[in-house]
Amino acid sequence: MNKDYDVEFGPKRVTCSGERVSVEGYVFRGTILPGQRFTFLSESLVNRTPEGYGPSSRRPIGEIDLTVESIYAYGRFIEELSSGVSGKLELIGTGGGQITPDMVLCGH
Amino acid sequence: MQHAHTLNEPRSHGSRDQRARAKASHGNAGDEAPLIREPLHQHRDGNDITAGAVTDTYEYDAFGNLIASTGTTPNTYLYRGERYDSDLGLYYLRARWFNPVTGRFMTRDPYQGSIYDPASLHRYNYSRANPVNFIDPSGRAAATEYAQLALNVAARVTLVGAEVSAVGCAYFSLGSATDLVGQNIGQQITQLSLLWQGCAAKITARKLYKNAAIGLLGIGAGRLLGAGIGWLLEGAEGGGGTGFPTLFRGTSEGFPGSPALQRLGITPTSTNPAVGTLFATYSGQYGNGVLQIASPAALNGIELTEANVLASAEGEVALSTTPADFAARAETTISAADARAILQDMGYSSPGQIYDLDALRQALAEVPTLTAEEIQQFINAASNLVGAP
Repeated sequence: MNKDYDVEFGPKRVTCSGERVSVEGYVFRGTILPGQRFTFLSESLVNRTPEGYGPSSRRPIGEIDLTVESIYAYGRFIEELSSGVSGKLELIGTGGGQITPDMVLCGH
Repeated sequence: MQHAHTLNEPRSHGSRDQRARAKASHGNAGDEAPLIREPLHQHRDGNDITAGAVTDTYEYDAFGNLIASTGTTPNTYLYRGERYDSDLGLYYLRARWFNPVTGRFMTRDPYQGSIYDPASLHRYNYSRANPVNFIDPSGRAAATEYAQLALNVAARVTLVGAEVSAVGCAYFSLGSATDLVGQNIGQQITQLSLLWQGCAAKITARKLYKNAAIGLLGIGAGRLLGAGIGWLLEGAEGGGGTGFPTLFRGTSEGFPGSPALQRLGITPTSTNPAVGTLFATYSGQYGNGVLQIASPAALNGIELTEANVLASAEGEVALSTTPADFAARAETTISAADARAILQDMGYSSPGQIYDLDALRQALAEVPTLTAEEIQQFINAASNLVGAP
């Protein structure tokens, strides 16, 4: 696990149009609020073990600069998304074109 | 996404099936091409239908909000040919009124939806919140789905003959299947007959004989399909209760839910015990990982809320209650290990360790979808474990 970032979001679906990016997925770490900045992109490397899944690791992809404009979950726009909860983030900024569903958006 | 149509040509928006119906309603190659919906007002205005002159055009967003239009012909039949009440700002879709601004119906769907398709369980959604690919002319979401299924069956049958006009018969099979849901069969047979006559009047005599047989096959398929699904639903849901199926929630014992969901008053659950088992296994690192199982009877009085964005992948059903309430109502609670063992006995392997959310995302992507029979088998096995009735 990458312990350097306070907030992480794992997308499962990504839609990118210019500087606008829509990602549907899970909060992996921390709590996401509108205005949250994601500054780094990693690839998630899931570690399979005989028992199931061990600690995952990350492969750095590169810097991004995406800011959360809005959070949508359970049919409404909400003000925060907690760890473990899924939702949709509307992001604006640069680097969105690199995001794929096996990656992790990281920020402080 | 924008959609457009003109008043005197097949609409270009909507799904392939919708386009097929539009084409059928206008005939083929201009031979027998009476217009069914749009030209009503043109009759009043004296426009020449057969000349095909376009007098008005409209562009909508995906939910039917008018973006742009040309022409001045008075017309209340707008998005998808449905009647728009400009005073209310709503579309009349028979069973219910639809608000294109919110993309929601104003009242609940009288039908409870399908347990095998969580998106259909939301009773205010229009066209499963996917108006590009679905329609909802009846105002009853479930009916739309059945109709769509019936259309698919009918279209498959009718297209064997490679007659474009046969698609028109599929269209009427659609309407028939829609009306068949939850209504009197005898009444429907009469309506089917009328609809079929309407269809037949639009095609040539030569085609009629062939397409009558094919179209009736389609209607029959739609009826059988609707009846089959209804039977399946009734069996799986125990014929009553809350209108949704037995639900599964994997968590750690005593977990009050995430702060954000507590504030929203939402408890996520799943129709799939394999999904619940994954969450129970993951939650095991925070306490005693358990799988809670609640039947429709136990959940009586709880409202569904709109499922989350990844609901279809997780078989998620969101309830307007607290995790503590769900835990208290659950008739059966078993350990994550027991849940995995049951799945194992059924031939499904479920990971014994899910260390982090990266892994949970991966595990959810690979989770099997259980059949209704398998879900019942799981419920029975869990009940037997704890000695529940």
